[in-house]
Amino acid sequence: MGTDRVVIGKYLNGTMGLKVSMPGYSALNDDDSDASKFSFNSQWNDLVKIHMMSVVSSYTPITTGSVTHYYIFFPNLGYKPFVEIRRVDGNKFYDDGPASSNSVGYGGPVTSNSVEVNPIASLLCVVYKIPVPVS
Amino acid sequence: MKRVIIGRRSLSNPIKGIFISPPGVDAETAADDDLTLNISDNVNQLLSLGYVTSDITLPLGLSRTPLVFLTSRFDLSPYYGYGFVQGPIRPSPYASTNAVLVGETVYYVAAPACSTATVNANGASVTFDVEVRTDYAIYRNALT
Repeated sequence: MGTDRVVIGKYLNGTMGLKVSMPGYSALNDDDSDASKFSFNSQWNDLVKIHMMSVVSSYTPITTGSVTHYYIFFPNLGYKPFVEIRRVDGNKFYDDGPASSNSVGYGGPVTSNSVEVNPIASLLCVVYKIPVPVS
Repeated sequence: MKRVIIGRRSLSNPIKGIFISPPGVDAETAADDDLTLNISDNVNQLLSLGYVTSDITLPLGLSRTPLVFLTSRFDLSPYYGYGFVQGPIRPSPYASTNAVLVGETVYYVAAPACSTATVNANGASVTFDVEVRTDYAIYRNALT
């Protein structure tokens, strides 16, 4: 018999909701105070929301004086969000380190609707609906 | 108050899906951003989350290439005050052969070796080439 991976309705403690467990764990019987055993539990107060996730290979150049900067634009959030940028090369994904010595990382300054990037061939860009402090 | 809706959102809202709200919030009427879960549109899903410390191939069993996010725990010892600490650096570190910290800008003394993840056979598995302990998050591609 398989493991109960999804519970919709009444939990064993009488609470109503929806729970989905990770492989090898029971959504019905395992301790749901250990979040690592569950991929979802409607009792959680919140989940991180993603505003945009995309592999980008075309960047918007903006030249100021003799210097050109490159940007990825996204729908304006009204606040400066937390953004993650990674290098992608075909089916190979890189961590967040710089490309080489004397070079910069791939992500730059963020505004409410853009992130400046180091314009290599392809970048994986994720914009989270998480405001970051603005000094 | 409804906290879990499977099907039509409400009598006045014909959008169908799965809608779950946090305690104290009505899933029928809450703004989308206030929901804990809203499956009514093309969405990304977090398939797997974990960390690797050495080269390894993990089965995924997918038929499409997912998106893989890697965050390495770099050695922060080049930075004043962070000896013997490992962790991510935000913004992503700059690399330089001689600078360490200038003003508020962090420079890495030399480019740290990068961990990578290669997705095999359109999502059948993923092979990690690990340089330092690296956290990974694997997302299913947005539906198109």
